[in-house]
Amino acid sequence: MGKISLLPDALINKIAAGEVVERPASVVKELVENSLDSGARRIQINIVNGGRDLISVLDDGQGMGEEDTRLAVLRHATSKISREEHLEAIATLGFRGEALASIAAVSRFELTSCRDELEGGFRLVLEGGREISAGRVGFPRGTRVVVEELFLNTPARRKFLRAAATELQHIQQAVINSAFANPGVGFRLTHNNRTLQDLPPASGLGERTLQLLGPEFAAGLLAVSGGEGLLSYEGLVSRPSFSQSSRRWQYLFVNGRHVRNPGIQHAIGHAYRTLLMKDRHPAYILMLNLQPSEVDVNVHPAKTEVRLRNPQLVHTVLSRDIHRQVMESSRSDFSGRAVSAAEGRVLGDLRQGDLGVVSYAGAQGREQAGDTEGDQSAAASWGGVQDSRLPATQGPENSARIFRGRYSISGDAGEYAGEQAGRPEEELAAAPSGRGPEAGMAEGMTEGMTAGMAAGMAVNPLSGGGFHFQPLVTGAGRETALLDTRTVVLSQFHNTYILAQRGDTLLLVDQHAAHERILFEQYRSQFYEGRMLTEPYLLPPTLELSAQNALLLEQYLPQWKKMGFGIEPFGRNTFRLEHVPALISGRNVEGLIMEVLDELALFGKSGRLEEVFNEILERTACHSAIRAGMTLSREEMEALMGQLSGLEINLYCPHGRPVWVDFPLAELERRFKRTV
Amino acid sequence: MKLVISKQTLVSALQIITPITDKSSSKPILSNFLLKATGTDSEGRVEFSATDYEISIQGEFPARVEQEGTVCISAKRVLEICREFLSDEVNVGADEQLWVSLAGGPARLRLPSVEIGLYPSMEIMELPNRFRISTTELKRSIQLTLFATLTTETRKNLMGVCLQLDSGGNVRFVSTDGHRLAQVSRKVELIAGEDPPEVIIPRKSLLEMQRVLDNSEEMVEIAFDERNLLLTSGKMVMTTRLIEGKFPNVEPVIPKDNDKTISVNRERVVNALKIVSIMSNDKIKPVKLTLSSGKMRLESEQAEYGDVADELDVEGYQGEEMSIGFNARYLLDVFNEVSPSETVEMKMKGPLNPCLIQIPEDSGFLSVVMPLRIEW
Repeated sequence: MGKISLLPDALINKIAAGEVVERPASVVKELVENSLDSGARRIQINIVNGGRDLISVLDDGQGMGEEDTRLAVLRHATSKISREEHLEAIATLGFRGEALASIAAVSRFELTSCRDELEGGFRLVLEGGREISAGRVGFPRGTRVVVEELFLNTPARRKFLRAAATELQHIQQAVINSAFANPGVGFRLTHNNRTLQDLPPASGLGERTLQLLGPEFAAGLLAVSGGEGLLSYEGLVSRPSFSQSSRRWQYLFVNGRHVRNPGIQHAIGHAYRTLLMKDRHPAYILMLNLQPSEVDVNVHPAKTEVRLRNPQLVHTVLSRDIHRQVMESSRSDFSGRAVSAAEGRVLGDLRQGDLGVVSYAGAQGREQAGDTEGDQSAAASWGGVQDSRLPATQGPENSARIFRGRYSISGDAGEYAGEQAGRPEEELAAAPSGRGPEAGMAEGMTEGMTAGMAAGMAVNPLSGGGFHFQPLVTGAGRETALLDTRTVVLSQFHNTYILAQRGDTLLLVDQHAAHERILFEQYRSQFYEGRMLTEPYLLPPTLELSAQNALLLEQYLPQWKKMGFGIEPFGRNTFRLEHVPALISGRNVEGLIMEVLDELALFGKSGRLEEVFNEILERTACHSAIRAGMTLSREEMEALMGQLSGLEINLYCPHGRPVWVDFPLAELERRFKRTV
Repeated sequence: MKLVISKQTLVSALQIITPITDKSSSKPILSNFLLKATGTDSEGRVEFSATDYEISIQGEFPARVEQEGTVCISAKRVLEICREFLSDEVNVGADEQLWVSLAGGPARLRLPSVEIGLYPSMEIMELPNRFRISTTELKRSIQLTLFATLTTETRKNLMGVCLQLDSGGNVRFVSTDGHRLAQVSRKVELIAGEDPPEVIIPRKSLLEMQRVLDNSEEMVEIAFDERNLLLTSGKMVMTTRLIEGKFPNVEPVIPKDNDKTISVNRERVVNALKIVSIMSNDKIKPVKLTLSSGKMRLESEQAEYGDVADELDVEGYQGEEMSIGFNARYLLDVFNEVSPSETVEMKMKGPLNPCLIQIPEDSGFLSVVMPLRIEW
């Protein structure tokens, strides 16, 4: 007898169940996704004993007739795709047609569904995949799936289930993920008849976040949105002051699906470069929308992984856009207590409930500036990655931009040039609705803006009097609302903090952190915008690379060159290092090159060089900055404050420590019990 | 064990060995040293020895020994305390339980000895290639090459000074960090050696060797094979492991036809380089040298801060104006180390070609510095 035989269907289903149905939470996830695909507005999930004993999901979706109900429990039976081409453009959450069959194969399974209330419902009961009973029942429109005794016939799997509390944790997480992805749908989760989550349909992500994470958490987040070409995104991200100690609060959704994707996560983390302290992480709930053809979700049966067709571009767009939006938020923080205004913005969004309404002026500006280099390269890169990697060869008139952009590898020359070029247009776009930083808020500012907002609007060009700051450090496109800021230096406290008054706010400025930030920005612009200084080798070292790394290095040789690395092919996988940027003199250059190559291999781009450059500039700034404990004259303090207000980011020192804290008069009066 | 030793001898011996007894080492026993007393009375000797596996030092000093014995105690602690003793002599004793006491006058230190058997054994090897060199010459050779060694762990073979010896008794010390190099050639008294290998002495060992040489007699002997090097100075022996690897051949990069030669006053240039490099905060201090007939101008290249410039007279150059950029730190290193030489010769060719630096007093020394490239 032959050794190879076809497996019986029942066994195939059990094996497939192992892939899809890992634990009760995966059952919940699959069933909820089915409900969502059926157009449900409300979904009720009941769990007993961590899902071991019972999982029931009831929805008010479109339901199924008798024939469909029977088909639904067969493997690869699905209403969601029917032809191979559909795989290229999947718009529904489920599509593989395995879930119900797999779940039914390993449990006591009851499926009741009704498409038309006049017609009545149909109920099907299976045990271990075999039909036990079937018949018509009275049932409202919608579907209910009850799964009892999960893994009853796969003892191995059952044995591996964890404590009920652990399984429940996972189930809750699955429900939260779905709830974030579908703010318009109501969710109710009960465990042993106790309600754990009751989320009425929300008007948008803002309100859903408020429901799930509470007002305090929501106030620490900043609404972001934007997009480019076939990609768009919106969501809420941490303000730099609201960083977290773990990556737990990072929710990433691609086309409505909760996923993990190291590349995208890296991009968002990268957006916070120089803004967060070491080991601090942003929280975010980010909805990424890509054309279905740009993303492959059919990587793993549980669909938690996605593959992007063009990861470099997604990385570039996200890290650049979010970086800018976060930076602008921290800048407006300084210009007259706009923090409360921005908080008001989120709350306003929450109330108004539709993040989509708040469009980001910068993004618009960039779209309008359609002829800038940044757009060209970004657009081109959808067509082919190679194009965007060499945007620098586009003509002599762009050389200045290229120069600025020289320090990050891959499509970034375009990124920075785009950023620079986009700025004037941004301000144009913003002009009708107000000053630059607030422009984006204009539409979000509705009746929801309250006292906090009003305070924020009082950037008080009239109040105060006294020292009028002129930014000493200016550069093209750095004109901001800060030019109008009037701040009065009061005194120095403990030879460490500058006391200043701005309108009705008392400011305490850390003199070292402030100076450090000022110097860092100076050094950075000198380094990136100045001429390049390279240090040639007398005895050039050679780099022996793996074939893969050699290919990678060769591919990016022009970019390396632009950053001051003279690398010459030296036969096969060997390269000769002719010269290096003078800034990294005395560093482990070979090691750095390897790190960059590793990141390029993993993420398709690398910010490692920029990180190292920044780190060196930071250290130099730190060493040259005035120290805590130094007595400063009034003139020195005023000069320092003046320079500070001219900077783009002044909320944090390069290490991520705050530069200043403020005490609004209202808060002081509350603490002195003058007001309640 | 019981002995009396002069405080000065004890302290200077400990000052030599303490730097290699690394307290932060993963092997705490290496923070100790061995103290061994032999002989009797006026014939008595005390041997100090310590090792960190890479470097070992053994030294023998006279002492009045009443009772022989060996103890193993913390070098740093003994040094710190004995240094403070007011008496000229120190009484050292140990009981059967190996409690060691050191007394200088009324002050007294008592500490336990580590089990001697646990301390790594050191043996003095017979090495095939040997030469004698004057202590002054060796110290000077180390000083003139150490500054150009690589300090980051990227290319291990550059983290030391290369020693080349030929059968004619010519010895050469060479160092480079990839951007510059320094070389010293000397004639020495060859004792033995047939086709001796080229070896690389680690930076750290050379620093330690300088301390040993500070306490050495007029002449020292060096012996080595591929893996170890031994420095003998009277009753002191230092052994070091060598860096494995091949040192690059620097001969081809030493410029032979640099025709633009200038002679400058060393102190004047050091002074000008310091003035000009103050303008830069970076580790690398770019400075632009512009040569014209009889003059050299030094300028800072940090336009953002403003400018600083200095001009000095030079001898030798007659020709068109030529500018060349340098890392001021590299120039300062050479100009400082060649002290007390008064005059320094710089031989250049063009703004992208290496510059040769020599001093008239010492034809055996040369240094090569690569210019900086400034792209506009």
